[in-house]
Amino acid sequence: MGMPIIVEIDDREASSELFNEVFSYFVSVDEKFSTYKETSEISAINRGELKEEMWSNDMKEIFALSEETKRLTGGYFDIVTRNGTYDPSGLVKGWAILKAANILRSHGVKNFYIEAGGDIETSGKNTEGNSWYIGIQNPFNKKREVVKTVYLRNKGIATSGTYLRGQHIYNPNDKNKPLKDVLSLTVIGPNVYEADRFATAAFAMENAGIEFIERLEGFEGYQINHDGNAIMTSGFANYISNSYV
Amino acid sequence: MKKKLLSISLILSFIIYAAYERITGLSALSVAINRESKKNNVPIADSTYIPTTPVIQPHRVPSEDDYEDDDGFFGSLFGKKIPSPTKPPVQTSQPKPATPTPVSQPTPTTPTANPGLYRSGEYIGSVADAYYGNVQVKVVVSGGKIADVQFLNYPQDRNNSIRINTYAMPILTSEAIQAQNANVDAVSGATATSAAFNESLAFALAQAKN
Repeated sequence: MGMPIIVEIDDREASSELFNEVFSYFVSVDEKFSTYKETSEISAINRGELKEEMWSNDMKEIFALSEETKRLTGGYFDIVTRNGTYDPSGLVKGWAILKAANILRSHGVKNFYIEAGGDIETSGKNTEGNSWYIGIQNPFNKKREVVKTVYLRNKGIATSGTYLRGQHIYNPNDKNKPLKDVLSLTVIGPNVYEADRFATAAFAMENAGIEFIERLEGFEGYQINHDGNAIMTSGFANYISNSYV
Repeated sequence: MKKKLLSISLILSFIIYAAYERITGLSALSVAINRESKKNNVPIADSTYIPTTPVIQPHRVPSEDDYEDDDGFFGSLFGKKIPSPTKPPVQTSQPKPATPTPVSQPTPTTPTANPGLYRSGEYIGSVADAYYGNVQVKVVVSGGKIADVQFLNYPQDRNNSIRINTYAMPILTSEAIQAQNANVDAVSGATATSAAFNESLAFALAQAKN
């Protein structure tokens, strides 16, 4: 998949076995849900080779959650692609991170974060005993550069976006008109699964996405537009200062 | 007599010196150094003095214009903060201005002699690897230029209404983004989508070129 996964544990319980368990869990999820692996369960379903009663419990769960998310987002979230196949990857990443976090929690680990491809579940405190200090990536820059920071504890954060910077793609009829107003949308939620699925759906809503997040209780959003301006929800400022310490 | 005078003057000078030392509170050594430094290097001695009158720094209250002036921020964003790439990426989408060939109908099957131009038509990129719904783009080429880039994978159903708290009026605030040197634990971003977008677009453009 080529997706970086980072697990940081700041408890004494941290052992290499624990890390291995988490990483092998991600491998098993990828082997089940990757639409780019012919051997995956989802590929078999898309080829029409697997009947619904033969699906794994994980697959049934993902399809049920997708259906629910589609309903909650007014159809903006849909795992059915244009050519009629299923692609649940917009949901699976956040779901897998949350499941991996629950593996750690079941072992009594309290202080950790798990990041997979820019989506993060935070739990407890960092090494300094503070809330986890998380940055939001500059969508204009391909290199790692932060344009906003938040303090998170037992929250999830996910960013959906298209980073057009560096492509210089424009409409030749109106060179000042960007192809897409919204470059990235970062969502903070009660956990990474919730943050991820609503970030994905709200990003598809383009300019209306941030208003959708504003109306979602327990969620905050930070939207970065093509003109270099950011729009944030009313409660986002609560995460800017380290109020826990 | 001479001895007496000498001893008196010696005692006097000692008393004077003791009094001087008391008043200034400085040791003989530091006084000597001070005198020397004052004598030899006046600017150093001067520079240690803090002016009694406070220096009023020019203070500017940010106005609304600061946030609304898009061009100014845009200029600084692209001119300073973000280094421009070494090779201009524009070139892939820029036409050779010498031969503008506006084609109304897509003719992707006709091979073009000019290799610098994209052939008119619609090109669909490969479905690239991104967890956030696969990224697939459609590039519309007209007259050798990229006329449009469309995302094929994102849901485009805009007629449905949002059913969550639609009664609430959003209270949103805006700010200009600024790069920070923050020592963060982790970074949230959509890097996977970015790479996938590039991949899919490159594929579509490879088709558009002959």
